[in-house]
Amino acid sequence: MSSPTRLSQAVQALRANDFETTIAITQEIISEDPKHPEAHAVQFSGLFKAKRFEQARQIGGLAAELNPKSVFVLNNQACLQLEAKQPASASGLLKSLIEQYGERAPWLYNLALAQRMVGNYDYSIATFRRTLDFQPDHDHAAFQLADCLSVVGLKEEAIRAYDYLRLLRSKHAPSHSTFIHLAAVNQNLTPIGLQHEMALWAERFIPKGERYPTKELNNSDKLTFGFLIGALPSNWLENIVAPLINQLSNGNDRAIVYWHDEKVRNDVFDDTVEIVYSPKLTDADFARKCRGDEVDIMVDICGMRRGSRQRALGLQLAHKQIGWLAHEGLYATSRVTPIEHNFETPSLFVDDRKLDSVHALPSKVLAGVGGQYGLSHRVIKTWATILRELPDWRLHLDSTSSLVNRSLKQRFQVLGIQSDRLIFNNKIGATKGTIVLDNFVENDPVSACNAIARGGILVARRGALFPAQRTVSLLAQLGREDWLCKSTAGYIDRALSLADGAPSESVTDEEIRQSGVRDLSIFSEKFRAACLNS
Amino acid sequence: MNKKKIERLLAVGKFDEALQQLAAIEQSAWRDMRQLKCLRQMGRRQDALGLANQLYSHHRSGQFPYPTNTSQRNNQLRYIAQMFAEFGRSEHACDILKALCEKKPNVAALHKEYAYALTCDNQLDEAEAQLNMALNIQPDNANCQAQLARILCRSGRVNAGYNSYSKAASLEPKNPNYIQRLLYWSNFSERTTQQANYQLTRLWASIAHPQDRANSNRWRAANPARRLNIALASSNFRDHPTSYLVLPLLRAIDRSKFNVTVYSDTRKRDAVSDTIRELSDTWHDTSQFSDQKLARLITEQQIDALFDLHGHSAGNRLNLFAKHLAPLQISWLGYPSTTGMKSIGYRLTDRISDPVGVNDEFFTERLIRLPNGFLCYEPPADAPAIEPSDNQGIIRFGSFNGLSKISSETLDCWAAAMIAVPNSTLCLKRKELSSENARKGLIAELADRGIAQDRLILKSERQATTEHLAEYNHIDISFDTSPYNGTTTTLQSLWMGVPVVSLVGHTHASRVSATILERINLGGMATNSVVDFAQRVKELSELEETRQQLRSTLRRRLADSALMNKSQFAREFELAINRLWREWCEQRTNERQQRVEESA
Repeated sequence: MSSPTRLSQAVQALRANDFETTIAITQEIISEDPKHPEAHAVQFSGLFKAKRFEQARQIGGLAAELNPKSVFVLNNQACLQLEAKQPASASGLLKSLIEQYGERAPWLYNLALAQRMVGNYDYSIATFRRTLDFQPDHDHAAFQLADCLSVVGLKEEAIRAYDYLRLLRSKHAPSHSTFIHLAAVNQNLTPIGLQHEMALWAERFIPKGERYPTKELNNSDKLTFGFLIGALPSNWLENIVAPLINQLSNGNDRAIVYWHDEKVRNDVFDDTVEIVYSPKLTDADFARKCRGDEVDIMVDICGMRRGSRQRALGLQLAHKQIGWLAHEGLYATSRVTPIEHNFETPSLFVDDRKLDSVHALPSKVLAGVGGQYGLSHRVIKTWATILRELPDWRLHLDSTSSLVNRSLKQRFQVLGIQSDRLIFNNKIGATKGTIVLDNFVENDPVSACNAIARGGILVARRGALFPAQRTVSLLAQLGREDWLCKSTAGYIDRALSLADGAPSESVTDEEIRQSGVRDLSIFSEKFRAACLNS
Repeated sequence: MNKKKIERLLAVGKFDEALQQLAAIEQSAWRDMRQLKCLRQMGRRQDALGLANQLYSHHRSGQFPYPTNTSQRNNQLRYIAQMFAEFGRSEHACDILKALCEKKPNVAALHKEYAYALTCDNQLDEAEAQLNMALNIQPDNANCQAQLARILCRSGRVNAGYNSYSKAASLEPKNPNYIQRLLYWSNFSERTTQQANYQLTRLWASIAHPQDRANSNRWRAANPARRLNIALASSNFRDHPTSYLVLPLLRAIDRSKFNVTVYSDTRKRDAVSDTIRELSDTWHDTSQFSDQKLARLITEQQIDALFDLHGHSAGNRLNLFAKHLAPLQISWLGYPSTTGMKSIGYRLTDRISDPVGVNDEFFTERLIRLPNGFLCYEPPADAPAIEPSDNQGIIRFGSFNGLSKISSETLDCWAAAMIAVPNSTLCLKRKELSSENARKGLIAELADRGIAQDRLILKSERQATTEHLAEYNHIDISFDTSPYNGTTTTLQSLWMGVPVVSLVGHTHASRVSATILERINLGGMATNSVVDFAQRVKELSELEETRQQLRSTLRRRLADSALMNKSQFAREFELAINRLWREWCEQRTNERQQRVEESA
């Protein structure tokens, strides 16, 4: 039988969904003529429709090469390559499609995904945007765009992108909670605005009427703590959260960590800590798990970050529910109380056991802290203003992501600060007398504390929302409230006067010791007492 | 005639018939309410108010001509209050609703209605407080969120207002109105990129007009040489910035080549409305027309080019443009960004406001750049004379732009300039400054930037145009806003001899002042950064002679420039429209030929 005849039989079988016949016939043709384009195309189609994806992918490369104009082969092979994490190959196929047939939303989206996988964020951001130009309600593209913008540190744009996403995913709680978190930590919400957001989130997403009954604590000497951890900055996890949890679990109490982020960090916890990997649990299942574990005090260290379980917390997971450190200042559910309200005096703890030794910053270098995940425009604007007034000074930034560093350089450049005045080097840091500029929009208590401990003089100001008030607590604890400035203009003036030689005393080792900011046992006692009193 | 039948008549809009039927039945709370609704829907304002007053007097005296229960009385009172608020008796509306809220403090709807009445009464702070109360009770009320957003935006807190509109839109994602408000206000925020605005606009278009297509009007006879029928549609044909930019065209356009029709949705007509009417070949008061009725009229009148002067601003008729009633549909003035509608094929602009190749991809319209600018201005006839400056050594800065245009970026510029010129004050004048919240917000923002309150002069009085313009005699340098520049404010300032310093951005809205300043050879006043802005202001502050010279010559300069050369503008306008018309005719001819060839 001639090839054309067999080929048409194969095509007929394909149309009749008889994929095995299709595959068999085309295999015969290919064995006689290994570069038969149509046979490869039809076989690929057969394998694909039979859901034999890996086999389809194996022959898909050659099928695409032999059939460069086949939309079916190119598109589906590209999808298979993406699934198989072969983004470069997928990109080539998709670009070929677009060049031949023009831009279409699904191709653009997949191309953007592929480029993201190879780390080409500029291209992927532009291509996700282009996808949305064609299909404004493409929610996956909207999510990817928002996530990419967040990863590269373009905070204001990421917030707007998440805001757009929640229009498309109006019933999807995480889309709303991510927006609220980002907006709050970047001071994009007023206090009343945050209240309204939380109230609305609660109204929409927290089931009404369903509550587990609370019970009295059986034994306050031996408590079961649950710690709900979401997408937390790694330095907070290593230097604040894990030491406390370990301390409690090595004492009389039981500590269970409910891990809600992607990769579990077993390395930071002692063996006495129980770890439950729970992202896949529904809120109801998670609630049942916590109740089953008989948690006395649930400590939420997530707020509205990725991994948020505020809906579950609204069901009442434990006798007492506390929010600590990572929240936005408010909870959507009234069943969680931020513990910061219950400390009698400002209480922060930052471990120094993992404090890396660094070389001292050279003179005439300001140390900007709290920029690991990027900086908001307000901070960049303010720091740029200071640098413009100090033309022979430079700025050290503690961001370690190359993507974030690049966007920071671009953004400072727009404000007239060239990249040679910026230093990105995590082997050097503040020393005695270094002027340390606090990220006054989204405080990082670990970086701020460590810079102060190394002798730095912090320039700080209080923000309207909790994420911009952590440094206030830190300075109060260290007895350095005079380092707080009342306004942005005051912040700039103080930095300039310090640069001009105005006197200011570093915090001594003794003062640090007396403040308790490094004393884990005192902090854990205070923490425990505050939890019991809440 | 039973109640159900009357309700059906009301539902289909047969108010006349419903009124007749209602008159025949026995008086009752139900009947009175229906009569009130009819009169209101029919726009019979005096009759409606008369009836409302009559009913209100029953409530005040406590004596009703028919039995009622509490619920009926309260509902009636609420409706009366709504009418009072709408028809200019907002004080009475506030009294009614205040009492109702005190009786039932946990009803969110009452607080919302009270807020509406307070807004009509210009008590914005109290309205804001009532809306916050309503949202505490009912956080998922989209309408409340939107009402609050409106107050926040207009009182200068655009980012907070944007957030409220965003909540409203997320609560009703299929309601295009909230998304439209969101995209409109996105133009005022420096956090909005051109691309983000475009994306949001396209989302709105996909929801509001999913069938919207380009070039779907093909049925008009393609005669490139005939006199064209052009029409302008707006609700702002009155003492309003749009009118001052349209009048020059109406005065100078060649009537032998163009027939000009005006569709006026203006509700409050004044002398300017009358002038525009006189200058139109055909004028229609369409303020009471539904979209369908206006669409029929436009179709009957065979309009060739229909101009949208609103974009997404309040009072727009974009729904009409989606019907593609005219072969050429053109966006002009009124709105700084794309409409997002493919059925609006063109937008008039110029090379400075929209440099070639920079932002074209963010417009669904094709940008038609007029050679000497897309603006032509006619100042008010009763503009006062310019008085010599008498600043007594203090440099007086000023801005009379809307508070919603005062963004964080704007405040950075202004603060930097005031720090650079320590012997200066800043005067802001806007009716929204009667809001204590607005004033406090501005004072706090400027204080945060190092500007003490005693350097600020905040005025909120509403004035007639002549008095308003006379205020410029107390200003030495005007500060522009960014990213949404002033247009008429910039022109008025220049007409009154006061130079304007502006920060130029990347969007159309942030480049309009640059196009104005360039046309009077003051392009140097359009700066590129906060530092430059402050530097320019400082230089101008130090050059007393230059300022005096500008004060005495700016009016002449403006009058002699392209900005007021209505003949030149009209010719360029006509050329552009004619060219678009010829293109359209050519496309139709080519299509016809193609069809003939295919059928052969």
